[in-house]
Amino acid sequence: MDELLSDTIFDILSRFPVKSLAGFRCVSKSWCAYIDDEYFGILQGKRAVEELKPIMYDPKLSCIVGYDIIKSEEGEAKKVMSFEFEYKTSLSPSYRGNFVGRAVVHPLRKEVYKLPPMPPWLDGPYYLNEESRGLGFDVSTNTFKMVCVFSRREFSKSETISKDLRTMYMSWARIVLGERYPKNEEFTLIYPPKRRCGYSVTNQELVDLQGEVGYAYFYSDDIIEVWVLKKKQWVQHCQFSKRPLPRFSRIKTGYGVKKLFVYSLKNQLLEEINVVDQKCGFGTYIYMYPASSMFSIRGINKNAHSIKTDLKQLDKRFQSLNL
Amino acid sequence: MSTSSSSSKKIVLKSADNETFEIDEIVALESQAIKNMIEDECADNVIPLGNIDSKTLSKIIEYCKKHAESPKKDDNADIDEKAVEDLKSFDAEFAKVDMPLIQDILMAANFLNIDNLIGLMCRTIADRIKGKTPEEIRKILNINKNDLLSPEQEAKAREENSWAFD
Repeated sequence: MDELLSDTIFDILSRFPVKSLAGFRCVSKSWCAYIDDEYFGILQGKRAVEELKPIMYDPKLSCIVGYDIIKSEEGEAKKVMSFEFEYKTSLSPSYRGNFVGRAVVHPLRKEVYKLPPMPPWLDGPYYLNEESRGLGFDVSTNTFKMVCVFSRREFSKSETISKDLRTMYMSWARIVLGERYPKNEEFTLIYPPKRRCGYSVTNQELVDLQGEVGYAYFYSDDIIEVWVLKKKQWVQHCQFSKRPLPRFSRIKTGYGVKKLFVYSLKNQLLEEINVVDQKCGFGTYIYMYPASSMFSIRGINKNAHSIKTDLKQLDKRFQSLNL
Repeated sequence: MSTSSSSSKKIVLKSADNETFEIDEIVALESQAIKNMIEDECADNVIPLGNIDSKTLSKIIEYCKKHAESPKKDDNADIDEKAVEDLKSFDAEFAKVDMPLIQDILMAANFLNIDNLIGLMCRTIADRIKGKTPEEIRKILNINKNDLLSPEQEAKAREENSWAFD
Protein backbone atom coordinates (compact mmCIF):
# COMPACT_ATOMS: atom_id res chain seq x y z
CA MET A 1 0.00 0.00 0.00
CA ASP A 2 2.78 2.39 0.84
CA GLU A 3 4.07 1.84 -2.67
CA LEU A 4 0.92 3.29 -4.09
CA LEU A 5 0.88 6.86 -5.22
CA SER A 6 -0.56 9.22 -2.70
CA ASP A 7 -3.24 10.20 -5.21
CA THR A 8 -4.40 6.63 -5.21
CA ILE A 9 -4.51 6.41 -1.44
CA PHE A 10 -6.48 9.63 -1.36
CA ASP A 11 -8.80 8.18 -3.96
CA ILE A 12 -9.44 5.11 -1.84
CA LEU A 13 -9.84 6.93 1.45
CA SER A 14 -12.06 9.60 0.02
CA ARG A 15 -14.71 6.96 -0.52
CA PHE A 16 -15.29 6.64 3.19
CA PRO A 17 -17.33 8.66 5.63
CA VAL A 18 -15.62 10.59 8.35
CA LYS A 19 -16.46 8.02 10.95
CA SER A 20 -14.49 5.35 9.11
CA LEU A 21 -11.66 7.76 8.52
CA ALA A 22 -11.47 8.57 12.19
CA GLY A 23 -10.91 4.87 12.80
CA PHE A 24 -8.46 4.57 9.92
CA ARG A 25 -6.19 7.15 11.48
CA CYS A 26 -4.51 4.46 13.51
CA VAL A 27 -3.88 2.06 10.62
CA SER A 28 -0.49 3.54 9.93
CA LYS A 29 1.56 6.68 10.09
CA SER A 30 1.03 7.50 6.47
CA TRP A 31 -2.71 6.96 6.69
CA CYS A 32 -2.87 9.20 9.69
CA ALA A 33 -0.92 11.83 7.78
CA TYR A 34 -3.11 11.46 4.69
CA ILE A 35 -6.30 11.79 6.67
CA ASP A 36 -5.05 14.84 8.51
CA ASP A 37 -3.84 16.37 5.31
CA GLU A 38 -5.60 19.41 4.04
CA TYR A 39 -5.79 18.25 0.47
CA PHE A 40 -7.55 15.15 1.62
CA GLY A 41 -10.27 17.23 3.17
CA ILE A 42 -10.96 18.69 -0.22
CA LEU A 43 -11.03 15.37 -1.95
CA GLN A 44 -13.15 13.82 0.73
CA GLY A 45 -15.55 16.70 0.54
CA LYS A 46 -16.06 16.06 -3.13
CA ARG A 47 -17.10 12.50 -2.57
CA ALA A 48 -18.71 13.10 0.74
CA VAL A 49 -20.88 10.56 2.36
CA GLU A 50 -23.60 12.32 4.19
CA GLU A 51 -23.80 12.05 7.88
CA LEU A 52 -25.00 14.50 10.44
CA LYS A 53 -25.33 17.90 9.00
CA PRO A 54 -26.14 20.87 11.08
CA ILE A 55 -28.25 23.50 9.53
CA MET A 56 -29.01 25.59 12.51
CA TYR A 57 -27.07 27.23 15.16
CA ASP A 58 -27.87 29.33 18.07
CA PRO A 59 -27.40 33.02 17.51
CA LYS A 60 -26.94 33.87 21.11
CA LEU A 61 -25.28 30.95 22.81
CA SER A 62 -22.87 32.52 25.11
CA CYS A 63 -20.54 30.30 26.94
CA ILE A 64 -20.46 26.64 26.14
CA VAL A 65 -18.88 24.31 28.60
CA GLY A 66 -19.79 21.13 26.83
CA TYR A 67 -22.52 19.48 24.91
CA ASP A 68 -23.84 16.19 23.72
CA ILE A 69 -25.54 15.40 20.52
CA ILE A 70 -28.59 13.37 21.22
CA LYS A 71 -30.41 11.61 18.46
CA SER A 72 -34.00 12.54 18.68
CA GLU A 73 -35.23 9.30 17.25
CA GLU A 74 -37.94 7.40 18.99
CA GLY A 75 -36.92 5.28 21.90
CA GLU A 76 -33.94 5.73 24.04
CA ALA A 77 -31.78 8.70 23.46
CA LYS A 78 -28.52 7.68 21.95
CA LYS A 79 -25.39 9.59 22.55
CA VAL A 80 -23.85 10.07 19.16
CA MET A 81 -20.88 12.10 19.99
CA SER A 82 -19.88 14.23 22.84
CA PHE A 83 -16.96 16.27 23.78
CA GLU A 84 -16.21 19.07 26.05
CA PHE A 85 -14.59 22.30 25.49
CA GLU A 86 -14.35 25.36 27.48
CA TYR A 87 -15.03 28.72 26.17
CA LYS A 88 -14.74 31.47 28.63
CA THR A 89 -14.51 35.12 28.38
CA SER A 90 -14.00 37.73 30.98
CA LEU A 91 -15.39 40.44 28.82
CA SER A 92 -18.27 42.43 29.99
CA PRO A 93 -21.47 40.98 28.61
CA SER A 94 -23.18 44.28 28.74
CA TYR A 95 -21.06 45.78 26.07
CA ARG A 96 -23.70 46.71 23.54
CA GLY A 97 -24.34 43.06 22.97
CA ASN A 98 -22.81 43.46 19.56
CA PHE A 99 -19.51 41.76 19.75
CA VAL A 100 -20.24 38.21 18.93
CA GLY A 101 -17.79 35.35 18.99
CA ARG A 102 -18.05 32.48 16.59
CA ALA A 103 -16.65 29.05 16.90
CA VAL A 104 -16.28 26.14 14.59
CA VAL A 105 -16.10 22.58 15.81
CA HIS A 106 -13.98 20.00 14.08
CA PRO A 107 -15.56 16.67 14.95
CA LEU A 108 -12.69 14.51 13.83
CA ARG A 109 -10.13 16.28 15.90
CA LYS A 110 -12.50 17.47 18.58
CA GLU A 111 -11.14 20.90 18.23
CA VAL A 112 -12.91 24.15 18.45
CA TYR A 113 -11.79 27.08 16.43
CA LYS A 114 -12.89 30.54 16.95
CA LEU A 115 -13.52 32.59 13.88
CA PRO A 116 -12.06 36.03 13.50
CA PRO A 117 -14.10 38.60 15.32
CA MET A 118 -16.41 40.86 13.53
CA PRO A 119 -15.60 44.51 13.86
CA PRO A 120 -17.81 46.10 16.46
CA TRP A 121 -18.93 48.74 14.09
CA LEU A 122 -18.74 49.43 10.44
CA ASP A 123 -18.56 52.52 8.36
CA GLY A 124 -21.73 54.04 7.14
CA PRO A 125 -25.25 53.91 8.34
CA TYR A 126 -25.31 50.33 9.48
CA TYR A 127 -26.65 48.92 12.60
CA LEU A 128 -24.83 45.93 13.82
CA ASN A 129 -27.79 44.10 15.10
CA GLU A 130 -27.47 41.52 12.43
CA GLU A 131 -30.77 40.07 11.54
CA SER A 132 -29.24 36.92 10.34
CA ARG A 133 -25.96 35.31 9.64
CA GLY A 134 -24.51 32.01 8.75
CA LEU A 135 -22.00 30.22 6.66
CA GLY A 136 -22.24 30.02 2.95
CA PHE A 137 -20.17 27.97 0.60
CA ASP A 138 -18.83 29.68 -2.44
CA VAL A 139 -18.32 27.06 -5.12
CA SER A 140 -16.50 29.44 -7.39
CA THR A 141 -13.59 29.66 -5.02
CA ASN A 142 -14.15 26.52 -2.96
CA THR A 143 -14.21 28.51 0.20
CA PHE A 144 -16.60 28.85 3.00
CA LYS A 145 -17.81 32.27 3.85
CA MET A 146 -19.52 33.90 6.67
CA VAL A 147 -22.54 35.67 5.40
CA CYS A 148 -24.29 38.35 7.36
CA VAL A 149 -27.32 40.35 6.63
CA PHE A 150 -27.22 43.79 8.14
CA SER A 151 -29.88 46.28 8.60
CA ARG A 152 -29.06 49.43 6.88
CA ARG A 153 -30.84 52.34 8.34
CA GLU A 154 -30.79 55.99 8.02
CA PHE A 155 -30.52 57.46 11.42
CA SER A 156 -33.35 59.81 10.82
CA LYS A 157 -35.63 56.90 10.08
CA SER A 158 -36.03 53.87 12.16
CA GLU A 159 -37.18 51.38 9.59
CA THR A 160 -34.98 49.11 7.61
CA ILE A 161 -34.26 50.35 4.16
CA SER A 162 -32.26 47.59 2.64
CA LYS A 163 -30.02 44.75 3.50
CA ASP A 164 -26.51 43.89 2.51
CA LEU A 165 -25.15 40.45 2.28
CA ARG A 166 -21.64 40.44 3.51
CA THR A 167 -19.06 37.78 3.30
CA MET A 168 -16.23 37.17 5.63
CA TYR A 169 -13.24 35.30 4.53
CA MET A 170 -9.88 36.76 5.28
CA SER A 171 -11.60 39.73 6.66
CA TRP A 172 -14.97 41.28 6.58
CA ALA A 173 -15.73 42.69 3.22
CA ARG A 174 -18.76 44.54 2.18
CA ILE A 175 -20.63 43.47 -0.86
CA VAL A 176 -21.42 46.47 -2.94
CA LEU A 177 -25.04 46.63 -3.81
CA GLY A 178 -25.85 45.62 -7.32
CA GLU A 179 -22.34 44.40 -7.99
CA ARG A 180 -20.94 40.99 -7.74
CA TYR A 181 -18.29 40.69 -5.15
CA PRO A 182 -15.72 39.40 -5.81
CA LYS A 183 -16.63 39.25 -9.43
CA ASN A 184 -17.18 35.54 -9.74
CA GLU A 185 -19.16 35.10 -6.58
CA GLU A 186 -22.82 34.46 -6.46
CA PHE A 187 -23.53 36.51 -3.40
CA THR A 188 -25.43 39.64 -3.90
CA LEU A 189 -28.35 41.58 -2.51
CA ILE A 190 -30.93 39.08 -1.47
CA TYR A 191 -34.00 39.46 0.67
CA PRO A 192 -35.12 36.74 3.01
CA PRO A 193 -37.65 34.24 1.69
CA LYS A 194 -41.34 34.83 2.03
CA ARG A 195 -42.82 34.17 5.41
CA ARG A 196 -45.93 32.22 6.06
CA CYS A 197 -49.07 34.13 6.70
CA GLY A 198 -50.83 33.73 9.98
CA TYR A 199 -47.82 32.62 11.94
CA SER A 200 -45.54 34.70 14.01
CA VAL A 201 -41.83 34.26 13.55
CA THR A 202 -39.91 33.64 16.72
CA ASN A 203 -36.54 33.48 15.04
CA GLN A 204 -34.98 33.52 11.60
CA GLU A 205 -31.48 32.96 10.47
CA LEU A 206 -29.15 32.04 7.69
CA VAL A 207 -27.99 28.46 7.78
CA ASP A 208 -25.58 26.31 5.92
CA LEU A 209 -27.26 23.56 3.98
CA GLN A 210 -24.79 21.12 2.61
CA GLY A 211 -22.68 23.92 1.34
CA GLU A 212 -25.61 25.91 0.12
CA VAL A 213 -27.03 28.96 1.72
CA GLY A 214 -30.20 28.26 3.57
CA TYR A 215 -32.60 30.33 5.57
CA ALA A 216 -34.58 29.06 8.50
CA TYR A 217 -37.76 30.48 9.90
CA PHE A 218 -38.84 29.45 13.35
CA TYR A 219 -42.53 29.98 13.61
CA SER A 220 -44.63 29.88 16.66
CA ASP A 221 -46.35 26.51 17.08
CA ASP A 222 -42.90 24.99 16.85
CA ILE A 223 -42.70 24.87 13.09
CA ILE A 224 -39.35 25.25 11.41
CA GLU A 225 -39.19 26.01 7.75
CA VAL A 226 -35.99 25.92 5.77
CA TRP A 227 -35.36 27.58 2.46
CA VAL A 228 -32.42 27.18 0.20
CA LEU A 229 -30.98 29.73 -2.16
CA LYS A 230 -30.99 28.64 -5.79
CA LYS A 231 -29.89 31.10 -8.40
CA LYS A 232 -30.72 34.00 -6.13
CA GLN A 233 -34.21 32.68 -5.50
CA TRP A 234 -35.35 31.07 -2.29
CA VAL A 235 -36.74 27.61 -2.76
CA GLN A 236 -38.41 25.83 0.09
CA HIS A 237 -36.28 22.97 1.24
CA CYS A 238 -38.07 21.29 4.08
CA GLN A 239 -40.07 21.91 7.15
CA PHE A 240 -40.35 20.32 10.54
CA SER A 241 -42.58 20.17 13.47
CA LYS A 242 -40.25 19.94 16.38
CA ARG A 243 -40.37 16.62 18.10
CA PRO A 244 -40.44 16.26 21.81
CA LEU A 245 -36.91 16.20 23.02
CA PRO A 246 -35.46 13.12 24.60
CA ARG A 247 -33.78 14.68 27.56
CA PHE A 248 -33.91 18.32 28.16
CA SER A 249 -36.98 20.00 26.99
CA ARG A 250 -35.60 23.45 27.27
CA ILE A 251 -32.37 25.05 28.12
CA LYS A 252 -32.59 28.34 29.82
CA THR A 253 -29.94 30.92 29.51
CA GLY A 254 -29.60 34.52 30.43
CA TYR A 255 -30.80 35.36 26.98
CA GLY A 256 -33.73 33.03 27.04
CA VAL A 257 -34.30 29.62 25.59
CA LYS A 258 -31.58 28.53 23.21
CA LYS A 259 -31.24 25.42 21.17
CA LEU A 260 -29.04 23.90 18.54
CA PHE A 261 -30.43 21.68 15.85
CA VAL A 262 -28.85 19.24 13.52
CA TYR A 263 -30.58 18.11 10.39
CA SER A 264 -29.56 14.90 8.77
CA LEU A 265 -30.23 15.08 5.06
CA LYS A 266 -29.82 11.35 4.76
CA ASN A 267 -32.57 10.25 7.06
CA GLN A 268 -34.31 13.62 7.16
CA LEU A 269 -34.29 13.77 10.90
CA LEU A 270 -34.05 16.89 12.86
CA GLU A 271 -31.83 16.35 15.80
CA GLU A 272 -31.15 18.49 18.71
CA ILE A 273 -27.81 19.26 20.19
CA ASN A 274 -28.21 19.63 23.87
CA VAL A 275 -26.19 22.27 25.48
CA VAL A 276 -25.10 20.66 28.67
CA ASP A 277 -24.17 23.79 30.41
CA GLN A 278 -23.63 27.32 29.52
CA LYS A 279 -23.00 30.54 31.21
CA CYS A 280 -24.12 33.97 30.41
CA GLY A 281 -21.72 36.13 28.60
CA PHE A 282 -21.09 37.14 25.09
CA GLY A 283 -23.09 35.63 22.33
CA THR A 284 -21.21 32.88 20.60
CA TYR A 285 -21.95 31.17 17.36
CA ILE A 286 -21.25 27.51 17.27
CA TYR A 287 -21.00 25.73 13.98
CA MET A 288 -20.54 22.05 13.81
CA TYR A 289 -19.45 20.50 10.63
CA PRO A 290 -19.28 16.77 10.76
CA ALA A 291 -18.93 14.33 7.92
CA SER A 292 -19.16 15.75 4.50
CA SER A 293 -17.99 19.11 5.50
CA MET A 294 -14.50 18.32 6.64
CA PHE A 295 -13.80 20.21 3.55
CA SER A 296 -15.65 23.21 4.79
CA ILE A 297 -14.06 23.08 8.17
CA ARG A 298 -10.67 23.14 6.65
CA GLY A 299 -11.63 26.11 4.62
CA ILE A 300 -12.52 27.94 7.77
CA ASN A 301 -9.69 26.47 9.67
CA LYS A 302 -7.19 28.44 7.68
CA ASN A 303 -8.59 31.64 8.97
CA ALA A 304 -9.76 30.52 12.31
CA HIS A 305 -7.72 30.98 15.42
CA SER A 306 -7.61 28.72 18.32
CA ILE A 307 -9.74 30.02 21.11
CA LYS A 308 -6.87 30.87 23.35
CA THR A 309 -5.16 33.01 20.79
CA ASP A 310 -8.31 34.64 19.82
CA LEU A 311 -9.39 35.56 23.29
CA LYS A 312 -6.15 37.37 23.74
CA GLN A 313 -6.87 39.30 20.63
CA LEU A 314 -10.32 40.01 21.86
CA ASP A 315 -8.97 41.28 25.11
CA LYS A 316 -6.55 43.53 23.34
CA ARG A 317 -9.25 44.80 21.17
CA PHE A 318 -11.40 45.69 24.09
CA GLN A 319 -8.56 47.25 25.91
CA SER A 320 -7.88 49.43 22.92
CA LEU A 321 -11.48 50.48 23.02
CA ASN A 322 -11.07 51.61 26.59
CA LEU A 323 -13.80 49.46 27.91
CA MET B 1 -2.64 -11.65 -28.97
CA SER B 2 -4.91 -9.83 -31.37
CA THR B 3 -8.02 -11.37 -32.85
CA SER B 4 -9.24 -8.33 -34.76
CA SER B 5 -9.07 -7.76 -38.50
CA SER B 6 -5.67 -7.15 -39.94
CA SER B 7 -6.74 -3.86 -41.48
CA SER B 8 -6.67 -1.93 -38.18
CA LYS B 9 -3.50 -0.38 -36.96
CA LYS B 10 -1.50 -2.33 -34.40
CA ILE B 11 0.44 -1.17 -31.41
CA VAL B 12 3.11 -3.31 -29.81
CA LEU B 13 3.74 -3.16 -26.07
CA LYS B 14 6.70 -4.75 -24.38
CA SER B 15 6.56 -5.76 -20.74
CA ALA B 16 9.36 -5.61 -18.19
CA ASP B 17 10.06 -9.31 -18.73
CA ASN B 18 10.41 -8.72 -22.49
CA GLU B 19 7.15 -10.22 -23.61
CA THR B 20 5.54 -8.38 -26.50
CA PHE B 21 1.84 -7.78 -26.91
CA GLU B 22 0.36 -6.71 -30.19
CA ILE B 23 -2.94 -4.95 -29.77
CA ASP B 24 -5.31 -2.93 -31.89
CA GLU B 25 -4.78 0.78 -31.74
CA ILE B 26 -8.35 1.22 -30.56
CA VAL B 27 -7.58 -0.91 -27.51
CA ALA B 28 -4.39 1.00 -26.78
CA LEU B 29 -6.32 4.26 -26.90
CA GLU B 30 -7.96 3.31 -23.59
CA SER B 31 -4.68 4.41 -22.07
CA GLN B 32 -4.41 8.17 -22.07
CA ALA B 33 -0.62 7.88 -21.91
CA ILE B 34 -0.41 5.71 -25.03
CA LYS B 35 -3.02 7.85 -26.74
CA ASN B 36 -0.76 10.84 -26.24
CA MET B 37 2.16 8.93 -27.63
CA ILE B 38 0.16 7.94 -30.70
CA GLU B 39 -0.95 11.51 -31.22
CA ASP B 40 2.65 12.65 -30.92
CA GLU B 41 3.54 9.99 -33.45
CA CYS B 42 6.03 8.29 -31.23
CA ALA B 43 4.27 4.96 -31.00
CA ASP B 44 5.39 3.55 -34.33
CA ASN B 45 7.81 1.14 -32.80
CA VAL B 46 7.49 -1.12 -29.83
CA ILE B 47 6.46 0.73 -26.67
CA PRO B 48 8.58 -0.50 -23.80
CA LEU B 49 6.85 -0.65 -20.44
CA GLY B 50 9.80 -1.32 -18.20
CA ASN B 51 7.85 -1.18 -14.95
CA ILE B 52 4.96 -3.48 -15.86
CA ASP B 53 5.37 -7.26 -15.87
CA SER B 54 3.62 -9.49 -18.40
CA LYS B 55 1.10 -10.85 -15.91
CA THR B 56 -0.09 -7.37 -15.03
CA LEU B 57 0.08 -6.15 -18.60
CA SER B 58 -2.03 -8.98 -19.97
CA LYS B 59 -4.65 -8.22 -17.29
CA ILE B 60 -4.65 -4.60 -18.33
CA ILE B 61 -4.98 -5.46 -22.00
CA GLU B 62 -7.89 -7.76 -21.16
CA TYR B 63 -9.56 -4.80 -19.45
CA CYS B 64 -8.83 -2.35 -22.25
CA LYS B 65 -10.10 -4.73 -24.92
CA LYS B 66 -13.39 -5.21 -23.18
CA HIS B 67 -13.83 -1.53 -22.58
CA ALA B 68 -12.78 -0.59 -26.11
CA GLU B 69 -15.36 -3.00 -27.53
CA SER B 70 -18.17 -1.68 -25.38
CA PRO B 71 -20.14 1.29 -26.61
CA LYS B 72 -19.02 4.47 -24.91
CA LYS B 73 -21.50 6.15 -22.69
CA ASP B 74 -21.33 9.48 -24.43
CA ASP B 75 -21.42 8.05 -27.93
CA ASN B 76 -25.18 8.21 -28.17
CA ALA B 77 -28.07 8.92 -25.91
CA ASP B 78 -29.73 5.52 -25.98
CA ILE B 79 -27.10 3.36 -24.39
CA ASP B 80 -27.62 -0.32 -24.65
CA GLU B 81 -28.49 -1.24 -21.09
CA LYS B 82 -27.42 -4.79 -21.64
CA ALA B 83 -23.98 -3.62 -22.69
CA VAL B 84 -23.72 -1.52 -19.55
CA GLU B 85 -24.71 -4.47 -17.38
CA ASP B 86 -22.33 -6.67 -19.27
CA LEU B 87 -19.47 -4.27 -18.65
CA LYS B 88 -20.39 -4.04 -14.97
CA SER B 89 -20.26 -7.78 -14.50
CA PHE B 90 -17.02 -7.90 -16.44
CA ASP B 91 -15.53 -5.31 -14.07
CA ALA B 92 -16.77 -7.24 -11.05
CA GLU B 93 -15.17 -10.43 -12.34
CA PHE B 94 -12.03 -8.60 -13.34
CA ALA B 95 -11.56 -7.28 -9.83
CA LYS B 96 -11.62 -10.74 -8.28
CA VAL B 97 -7.88 -11.00 -7.97
CA ASP B 98 -5.54 -11.00 -5.04
CA MET B 99 -4.36 -7.83 -3.37
CA PRO B 100 -0.79 -7.81 -4.71
CA LEU B 101 -2.08 -8.01 -8.27
CA ILE B 102 -4.60 -5.27 -7.58
CA GLN B 103 -1.79 -3.08 -6.37
CA ASP B 104 0.31 -3.92 -9.43
CA ILE B 105 -2.59 -3.14 -11.71
CA LEU B 106 -3.14 0.14 -9.90
CA MET B 107 0.46 1.17 -10.33
CA ALA B 108 0.37 0.26 -14.00
CA ALA B 109 -3.00 1.90 -14.57
CA ASN B 110 -1.62 5.05 -12.99
CA PHE B 111 1.40 4.91 -15.27
CA LEU B 112 -0.68 4.23 -18.37
CA ASN B 113 -3.30 6.70 -17.22
CA ILE B 114 -6.42 4.56 -17.55
CA ASP B 115 -8.94 6.42 -15.42
CA ASN B 116 -11.71 3.83 -15.36
CA LEU B 117 -9.33 1.12 -14.29
CA ILE B 118 -7.84 3.26 -11.54
CA GLY B 119 -11.35 3.92 -10.30
CA LEU B 120 -12.26 0.24 -10.42
CA MET B 121 -9.17 -0.80 -8.47
CA CYS B 122 -9.60 1.92 -5.86
CA ARG B 123 -13.22 0.93 -5.43
CA THR B 124 -12.18 -2.68 -5.03
CA ILE B 125 -9.66 -1.85 -2.34
CA ALA B 126 -12.17 0.40 -0.59
CA ASP B 127 -14.73 -2.43 -0.62
CA ARG B 128 -12.25 -4.84 0.87
CA ILE B 129 -11.31 -2.64 3.81
CA LYS B 130 -14.83 -1.41 4.45
CA GLY B 131 -15.94 -2.14 7.99
CA LYS B 132 -12.61 -3.67 8.89
CA THR B 133 -10.63 -2.91 11.99
CA PRO B 134 -7.27 -1.16 11.70
CA GLU B 135 -5.53 -4.49 12.38
CA GLU B 136 -7.43 -6.21 9.59
CA ILE B 137 -6.71 -3.38 7.20
CA ARG B 138 -3.00 -3.59 7.93
CA LYS B 139 -3.11 -7.27 7.10
CA ILE B 140 -5.19 -6.89 3.96
CA LEU B 141 -2.98 -4.16 2.56
CA ASN B 142 0.25 -5.54 3.94
CA ILE B 143 1.16 -2.25 5.51
CA ASN B 144 4.87 -1.83 6.03
CA LYS B 145 5.92 -2.48 9.63
CA ASN B 146 7.99 0.69 9.64
CA ASP B 147 4.88 2.66 8.96
CA LEU B 148 3.00 1.56 12.05
CA LEU B 149 2.22 4.01 14.78
CA SER B 150 3.95 3.54 18.08
CA PRO B 151 1.73 2.08 20.81
CA GLU B 152 1.52 5.53 22.39
CA GLN B 153 0.57 7.19 19.12
CA GLU B 154 -2.01 4.53 18.42
CA ALA B 155 -3.52 4.85 21.86
CA LYS B 156 -3.72 8.58 21.35
CA ALA B 157 -5.32 8.25 17.93
CA ARG B 158 -7.84 5.79 19.33
CA GLU B 159 -8.67 8.01 22.19
CA GLU B 160 -9.07 11.04 19.97
CA ASN B 161 -11.46 9.18 17.76
CA SER B 162 -13.05 6.84 20.24
CA TRP B 163 -16.47 7.69 18.90
CA ALA B 164 -15.48 6.00 15.64
CA PHE B 165 -14.98 2.64 17.32
CA ASP B 166 -18.45 2.19 18.76
